[in-house]
Amino acid sequence: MSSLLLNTNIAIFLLAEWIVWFVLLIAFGVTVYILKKWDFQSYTPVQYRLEKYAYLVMVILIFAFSMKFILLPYFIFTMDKISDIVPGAMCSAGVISFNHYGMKLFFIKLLILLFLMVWLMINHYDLDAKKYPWFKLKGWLYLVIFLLISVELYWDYAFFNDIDIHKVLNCCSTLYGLLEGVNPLPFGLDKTRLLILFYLLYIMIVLSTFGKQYFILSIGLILFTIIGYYSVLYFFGTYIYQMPNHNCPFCMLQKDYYYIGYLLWGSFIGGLFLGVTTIIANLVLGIDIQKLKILMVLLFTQFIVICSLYVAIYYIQNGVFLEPVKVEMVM
Amino acid sequence: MIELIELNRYYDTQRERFYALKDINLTINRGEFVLLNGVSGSGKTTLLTLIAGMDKPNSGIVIIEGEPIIKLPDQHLSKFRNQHIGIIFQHYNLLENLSVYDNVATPLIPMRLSLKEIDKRVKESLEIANISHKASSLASSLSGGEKQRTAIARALVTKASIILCDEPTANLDKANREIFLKILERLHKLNKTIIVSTHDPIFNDLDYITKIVHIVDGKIAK
Amino acid sequence: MEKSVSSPFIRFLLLNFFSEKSKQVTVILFSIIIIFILSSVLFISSSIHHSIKEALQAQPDFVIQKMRGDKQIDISERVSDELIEIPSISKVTPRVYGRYFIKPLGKSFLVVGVDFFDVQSHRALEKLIDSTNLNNFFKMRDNMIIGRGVKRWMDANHYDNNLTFFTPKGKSITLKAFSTLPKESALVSADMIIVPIDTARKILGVSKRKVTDFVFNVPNVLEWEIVTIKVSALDYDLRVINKKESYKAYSEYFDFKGGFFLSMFLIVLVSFSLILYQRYSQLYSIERRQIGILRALGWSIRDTLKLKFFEALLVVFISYAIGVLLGYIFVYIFDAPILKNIFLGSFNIEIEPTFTPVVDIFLLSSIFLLYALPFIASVLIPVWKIATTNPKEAMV
Repeated sequence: MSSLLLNTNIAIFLLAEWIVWFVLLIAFGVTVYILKKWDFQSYTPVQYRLEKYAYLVMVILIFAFSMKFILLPYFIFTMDKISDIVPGAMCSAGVISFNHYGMKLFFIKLLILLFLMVWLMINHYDLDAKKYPWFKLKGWLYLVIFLLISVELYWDYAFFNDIDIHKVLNCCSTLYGLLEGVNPLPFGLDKTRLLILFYLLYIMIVLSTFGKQYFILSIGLILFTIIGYYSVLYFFGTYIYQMPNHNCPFCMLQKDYYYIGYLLWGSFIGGLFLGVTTIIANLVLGIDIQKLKILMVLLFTQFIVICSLYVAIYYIQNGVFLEPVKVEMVM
Repeated sequence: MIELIELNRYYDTQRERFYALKDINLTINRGEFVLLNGVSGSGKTTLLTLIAGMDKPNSGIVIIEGEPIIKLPDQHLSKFRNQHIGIIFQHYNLLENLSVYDNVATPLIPMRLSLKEIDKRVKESLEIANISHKASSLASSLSGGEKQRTAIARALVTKASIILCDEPTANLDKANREIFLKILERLHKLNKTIIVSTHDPIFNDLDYITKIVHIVDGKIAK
Repeated sequence: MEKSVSSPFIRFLLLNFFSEKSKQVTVILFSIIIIFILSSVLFISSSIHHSIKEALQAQPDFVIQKMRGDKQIDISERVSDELIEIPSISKVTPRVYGRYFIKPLGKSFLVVGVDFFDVQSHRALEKLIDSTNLNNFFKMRDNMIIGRGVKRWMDANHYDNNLTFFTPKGKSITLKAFSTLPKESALVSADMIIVPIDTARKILGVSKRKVTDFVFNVPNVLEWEIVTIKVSALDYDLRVINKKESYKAYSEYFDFKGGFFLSMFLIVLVSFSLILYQRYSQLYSIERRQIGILRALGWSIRDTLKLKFFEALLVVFISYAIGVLLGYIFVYIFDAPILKNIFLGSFNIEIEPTFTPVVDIFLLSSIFLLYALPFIASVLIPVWKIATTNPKEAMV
């Protein structure tokens, strides 16, 4: 058992995750019971009780969502703090890639948040409808969520347990660094084309959202996920660090950069989540939620603005753009 | 308009099935003043509860203002009750720790109105129920009659078209009973549908009663 | 906007909440006590972590010592030449320091020798005293800079400003206190006496061609492992300590204490949760009536849930705010009497540290997660039960 588990912050984190899981276990039992017995047409007291139980599940899920929302940045912060103890790591990038659980864990956490958000949205409209039309959908979605959260809990434990603080970790320069001659960008793009795509996709997303073209929006979101990520990593991020070869997604979450990473990635991921939620609302439920769309656009706009501002400020201060330094292979 | 069709409400105990209401069929039109007559335990209160949607029957249909309310999910049922039905309980059921004003304002909160709008309506209702002078008094400090009038004001504040009264005069002295009847008459003139469940004989001589329903052992007697 | 969603609701919530204070008071009181203890401990612990980190920042990356068995012995200056040969090492600094025991009390001071020409130690010292004073310090042979613990001891024993040391060779050396180290560094420097390096050699009996240890920096973290291997290969009895290892050791030590505290806290937490669950379930019968009335008046389950949960949240936030504030005052203004001994018990001289306020969002969220999360989790079911009371209850 790793001594890391005794670390105060990690212990608190794991305890919190356990409590949330436990409460969700109760919701799981209730959901299964409701799914089995639900019969909207019936007049029995059992059916009326089921409606009340449905509210319990809702309450538990709102709780879980709020807590997971807090626990995600807390998780990242914790990893940042551990990077002090672990040799070689300068930020959470090293910690998270220490073992094979790290990245998987991070992504499952994002996935869970997304699913919870979607569930809550469906629930909101299900309650407002007269016949609980999406009742089963909610139920099955929850079962999936519970499965994911159980896996997450196991990976939480496994991840921290598997970190050996006496081994040297990789720093982000090893993980994300540029090697001479190798183009890290997808689809064989170069920086200019990447940026053009970046801004174009943003416009495409905004237009398709208000034009109610949800299939186009879906494509736009998928592409933007990839392009946005790489743009931040290999272009905008370098302006945040003011170093042409610093390509780390995690370092910007640190105090040295005024924690801008949280705002930047937060807007990006938030926008994506809201986008997915909007698409599901429109294509699956047939409901158009104006507020959600506006919020999504606002978040993406914030994201674009932050990225562009860093470049603009650098240019204004220095009169030039950053030139990437050629990295020589060390023999 | 209120329609009750083949309404049944029973409770199953170990030994038997007890019918609080059996095969109730009843239609009440807009603006009617209906008296539900019967001894305690005859099922009057159960009937009121079912009309208000506060309980669900075991079988049968309840249609109010064209809306079949039984199968409505809570969100909709509550909203319906909030907007269409005002209730005056036997024991007033005020929130003792709040003032008269706040008690009367309570039904308006789920309606998402502005503070200004709420203030306007509360003041109007207090006026009709003749209890404006006690607006800031705590409910716990009121006399029986005053509590009654607060309950009336509360029942009116949502501009509900249906008013249900459960044994409204049971705990009042003679003077207050008279006052209550006067207020009821005012409400009747406002074209509200009023249903009073009572075994107080003071109601028997009123000339604006449009229907008397006798309930005996859960059934409507002819 | 004419439609104002929250204000009448919030007004009702607050009116209702504050008119029934007695219900909430016990829970709030208990919560405040728990949060107070919790936040005090976390404040202290984070302050200590911070101080150690600060102190270690000035430390060199590597410390090389010579061991005989488990004891550290003086190391020959020659080793420095061997160390310089290693490519990643550019400059090696010798250090002379050791414990000097004041007989009658069994207490000891840490005598640290500083070389006037050495930049590394200068940098470390500069964190403690500013440079003009430093130059003046080195001008006189018999100056010393003392830590607060030393000063206190000297004052208590009427030593004026001078202290006489007896060298292993039997000679005596009297040193004059030049200045005292600032209290912010008290955690590491309380029992320190800083003297010129040759004075230290005399007091500690370290011969001219030997030093206590060597230190150097290796800027590229990725090279640390290689350096460790190469240095260890130089001699079988060399011990290599790096900065992160020290920090880790301290961290583990405090984490251990923290872990212990945490497990105690867990027990408290579990009992608190059960009490909460019970208490809120008790309120069930009283609250039932109120909620039944609201439901009869047309409040939906969503509305009553909102009401009840906001009430619980109000309790959480009030207790949290007061508890944290009290903890803050206790630790950072009153320096945490009694409690600090749990953390600092095993230190040499009685340290009267001032805890430097280190409060960030992370710390506040830790307190929140330890208190608010279990609290809300415990009351989820009771509150739901109350809020879904049948409106029929009002008819009875």
